[in-house]
Amino acid sequence: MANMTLNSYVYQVQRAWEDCDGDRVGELLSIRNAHSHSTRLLESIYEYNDTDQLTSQYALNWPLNELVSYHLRVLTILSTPPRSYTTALSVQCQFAQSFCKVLQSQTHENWALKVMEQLCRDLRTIALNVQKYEPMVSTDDHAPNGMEKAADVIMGLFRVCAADTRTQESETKRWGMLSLVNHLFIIYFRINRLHLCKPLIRAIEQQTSLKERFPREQAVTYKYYVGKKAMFDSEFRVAEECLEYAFKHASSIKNKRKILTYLIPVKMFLGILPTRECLKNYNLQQFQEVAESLKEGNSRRFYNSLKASEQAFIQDGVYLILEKLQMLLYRNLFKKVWLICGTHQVPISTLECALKWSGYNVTQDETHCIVANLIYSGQIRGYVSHQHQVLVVAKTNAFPVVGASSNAD
Amino acid sequence: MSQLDQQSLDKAAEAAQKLAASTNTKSNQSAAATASQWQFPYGFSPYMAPPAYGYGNFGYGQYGIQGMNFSCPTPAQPPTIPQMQQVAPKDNQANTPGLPLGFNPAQLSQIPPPAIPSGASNGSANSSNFSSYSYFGNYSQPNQSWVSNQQQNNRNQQHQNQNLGGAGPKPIRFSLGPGKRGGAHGFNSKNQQPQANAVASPSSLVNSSNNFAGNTNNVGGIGGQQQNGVGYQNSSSAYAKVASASTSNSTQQNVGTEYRNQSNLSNAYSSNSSSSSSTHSAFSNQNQRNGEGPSQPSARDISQAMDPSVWPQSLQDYVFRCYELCKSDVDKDRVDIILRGKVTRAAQDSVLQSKDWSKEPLPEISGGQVKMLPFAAVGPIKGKITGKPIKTEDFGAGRGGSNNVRGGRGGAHAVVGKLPKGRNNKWGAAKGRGGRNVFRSTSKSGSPSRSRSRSRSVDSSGSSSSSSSEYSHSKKTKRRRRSSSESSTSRKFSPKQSKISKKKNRRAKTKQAKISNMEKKGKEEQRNVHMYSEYGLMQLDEDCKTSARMNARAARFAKENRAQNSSGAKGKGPRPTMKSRLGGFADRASANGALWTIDTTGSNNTNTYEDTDWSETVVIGTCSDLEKRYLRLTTAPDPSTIRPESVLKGSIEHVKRKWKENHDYFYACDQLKSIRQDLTVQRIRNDFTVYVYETHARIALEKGDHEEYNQCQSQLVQLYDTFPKSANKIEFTAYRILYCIFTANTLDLGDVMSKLTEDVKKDACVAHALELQGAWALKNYSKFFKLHANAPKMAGYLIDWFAHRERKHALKTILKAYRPSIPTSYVKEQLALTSESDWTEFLSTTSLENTIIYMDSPINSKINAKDSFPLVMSALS
Repeated sequence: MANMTLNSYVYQVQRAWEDCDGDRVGELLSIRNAHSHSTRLLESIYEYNDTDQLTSQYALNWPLNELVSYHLRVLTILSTPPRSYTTALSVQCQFAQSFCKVLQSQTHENWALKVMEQLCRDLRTIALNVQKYEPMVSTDDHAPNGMEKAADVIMGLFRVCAADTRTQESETKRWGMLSLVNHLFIIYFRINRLHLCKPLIRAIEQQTSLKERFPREQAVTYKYYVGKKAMFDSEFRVAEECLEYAFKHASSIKNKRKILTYLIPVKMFLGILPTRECLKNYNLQQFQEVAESLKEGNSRRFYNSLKASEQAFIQDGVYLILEKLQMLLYRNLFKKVWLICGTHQVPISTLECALKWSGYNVTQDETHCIVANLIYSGQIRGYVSHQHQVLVVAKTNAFPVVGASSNAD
Repeated sequence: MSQLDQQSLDKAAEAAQKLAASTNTKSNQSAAATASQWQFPYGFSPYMAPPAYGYGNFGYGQYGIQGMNFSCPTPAQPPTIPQMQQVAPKDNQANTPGLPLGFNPAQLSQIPPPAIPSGASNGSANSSNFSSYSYFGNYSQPNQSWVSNQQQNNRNQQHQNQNLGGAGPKPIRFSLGPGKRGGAHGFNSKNQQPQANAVASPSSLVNSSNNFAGNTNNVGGIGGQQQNGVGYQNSSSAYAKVASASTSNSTQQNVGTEYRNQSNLSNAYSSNSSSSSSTHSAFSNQNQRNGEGPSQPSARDISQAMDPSVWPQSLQDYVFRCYELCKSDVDKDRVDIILRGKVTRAAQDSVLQSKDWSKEPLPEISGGQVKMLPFAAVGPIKGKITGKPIKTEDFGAGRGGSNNVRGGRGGAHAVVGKLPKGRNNKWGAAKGRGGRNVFRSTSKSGSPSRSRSRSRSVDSSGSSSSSSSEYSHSKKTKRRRRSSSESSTSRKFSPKQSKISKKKNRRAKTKQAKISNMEKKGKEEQRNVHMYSEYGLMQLDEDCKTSARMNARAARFAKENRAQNSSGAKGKGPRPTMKSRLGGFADRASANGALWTIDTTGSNNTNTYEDTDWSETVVIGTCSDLEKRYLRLTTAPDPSTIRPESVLKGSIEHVKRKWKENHDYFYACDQLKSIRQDLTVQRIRNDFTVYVYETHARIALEKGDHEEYNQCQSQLVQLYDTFPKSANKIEFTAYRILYCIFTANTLDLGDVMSKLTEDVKKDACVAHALELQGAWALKNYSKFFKLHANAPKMAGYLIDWFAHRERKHALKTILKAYRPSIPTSYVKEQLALTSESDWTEFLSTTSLENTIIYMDSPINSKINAKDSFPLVMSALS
């Protein structure tokens, strides 16, 4: 394998294709497979990367001649020293587009989905590399960059798959939708185009018969991204549900940790703090301080804990979410004050004092504002009397359980 | 995705649509006149053209989605088409670079519309048809890139070939520059050809060149024909004989140039001075003439059918309703096509007046999602009907006027509606004999010397047919000048160069010869075009944010390029592509505009430009105008319209000065966009680029133009990556944070924040922005508005954009939290609405006036929070 000749390579591809062995074809058309490191193969590619030549010399017929030709060109580009991911991407895009036609022409069979998955993965990998190593200085505001190009091609495949609605379940290409959606999610998250995810989610949710039966790893990825998106949209209930599913079904620790990075803040928003053990197991101690200060209502400590891991939080994209947990912190603090006061009338000045004690240097107006926001979001039941400058809380259930109030933002 | 794409395209098309509809009038009139006076050696029914293309051949879906590539069902074009070889007069060509295409009389027999294979009968109708369409097309042209121009050339060429070889299927693939005007364009190119064919070869050349040159040229050409009638034809025939253009007195040449002149004149109106009045006179003349036009019933009737002013009320209503249905520009395109077809048919059947249009079914619009436009189509239609001339202002002097026209983006429709008038007028001016008047008037107006001298020569000539003599004279002079300047230019190109290059040269020369005129003309035309294009554009920009659309557009252009290349493969000239169609319509060039200097790293001056990588191409502008209208480039730029950096430096200061003087945002934005474009096109990326973008960003900030600001910002982000030392980088980083708050894009916000270093965070602007962000995230309105009040630099402008949004939320919060009442003064203070007027203004802009209930009604010192809350909530939800 590692030293395959073009001859044997072509033979293998041909055989696998005739056998409808999607996995094997996918491997052979992937840049990850061992054949891509075969020097002999690469050498011979230089002479034979023309479609016509493949056809004439190796008796490859459409579509395989085209596909192999594209693939070999990608390999050539990636292996030749001035390696240009941009060029490779455009060829891989052509490859995918050409495959898209093949896929469309295949009715009542879906073995090629495996090929498609490999292909899209390569496509995405190359696109990510383009972004990483060859960020284009676009001269036009609207020029599509590598990621967008890749996303478009994948979208084309997605359309083909999604449109295959008339076939039986066993042979429908709709089984390929989820993996494509996942690729698209990855790209969209990378290029901050979250709004484009929505139609994809809808398309998947409409696959009522298949929805629950997609491969697990795909479902986990899907749920992870849907949950992440929901978190950014402040839909914490949805986020919790999706991320929890992903967490439960994810296989690797690494992935679980990644999921927890988002699941923990979401849970905290809903009033569920992570256990020390859990954080330790997944090496997420940076949340430890956050959670404890939150419980304590200690503004200073909370602030410091955020600052301590600021960079990590920002990189993960949870910093801004955690920042909003401050409201929860104030709620806890005020509850303590209320308990100490023992009355249902708490002077604003007392609350202000408490805030200052906890390290937040507020003005009276800001205290008012915080209280008003807590009332507005339903975390305090009561009202403020401006005339008397007191917070009047309800006699029962003055501080509802966090997460019970649906009004939270 | 494709739908999105479509939508984006739609918007841009909108203006074009309107215009097209409204402008048909003029062209038809002139066409009618033309037709009547003319004998048409060729013929095909013009009338068939619209329906044929409109209904049959342009698949709507295709056209919308595919980015306006219309492909006729006819077979694909022959792979190799000798480009530009068909030019009839060989020697001439060399010396008359301005002529884009040579049409042989033989070509005349050929007919584009597939519907009628080769009707030799309807010549007159044809011409009228063409004129109308060509007008339409022309106007859309400026937007189109060289590609479409090129294609047009190619197409014409193809036609020629086919004609010569017998009537072959003609491949039609239109590539539309901006997308929307696709339909128009398609018509245009098709029409143009016949038109050109109709005229004897030289004139056709002229015409076509005019077409390229600008919106009105074409029309002007027709007008001229119409008036000159026989003389024109003669001259054209003579033209072929007289080879070298340089000094010859031949009439034909004159004719050719005359058109140009006229068009120039029309452009000249737009020049810096107060030309509008003169324009008017010219218009009126022209109009009269048109009105008097001899009658050749059928053709004329039909051509007139496109004139809304002769429509019965029911039809007008019907048209109005149709446009109301349009949700997008593509819709409008469709409706336009459909309507044109309907009207034409009705006219053919002579039921235009009698038909009960109210019973006519409304056209179906795609997807059934028909929505009312926010701005009704009233404007344009009304405009059409009333036919009130409205002058388009010129750049400098006429600024105020154009402002009015452009008043607000929301009024795009209205604008469109009005504009056609101006266009028509101009157009009329450009026509036929009107030319003379035009000249005079022009000389009266700002651009004195040249035009005056020209007109003088005309007068003195005193040859037989006044008009033709005029032409000849003017032409002569022009010729001469051209030739002189030509020598230098033409040398640059090998004799084998295609007409395009010649055209280019010629244009350039012409430019040289009559710079002032040209410039004026260029401006004028551009302005006209620009109105629309700009709208389309802006909207496009706005809507084109999704990758899908952008990609689709990119793909479209790629396709065009390909088509271009393949068809132009045999062309001899330097890449015809180089001569952008911009160059065509915007003939304004500086004295050195003749040399189109294009630096290509690759060797693409040979025939092998198929593989030219545009990314390798660098254009160096030669334009020296301080001001330039922005026009979206969809194709290769024309160096003669591009200003080099040195000029741009003057331009930006000029713009800034003007901005400080009169705060005319439309002007400033337009100018800055064109400066940005020139920078982009020339790939100038340096501190000056940063400066330009910063300047524009600041002005956009001040005026609250989110889209422009965002564009500048995203460019600045990239530029700052390249030039990290830029002085204002940190300041604009702070604005970027605020912008993220404005768009509530937490993902982007995180992105920005992740790149902040500790040093940057200490900067006053950034620190402020971050604090504001914190206050915003926690809905701490008290802090938020305090920070707002103390915003550094221009941050306040940006915060203004979302201050009301936060106020609304704060008001809700307050009303929910306080019981039983809350002092009004406290609320005002919290919302930073200290003055009574601010408070009422806030309530009125958020339509909350009636939701606030006071405890003590007349004094209004206390708000009844309990009762107000539900009202406010329902008002704001």
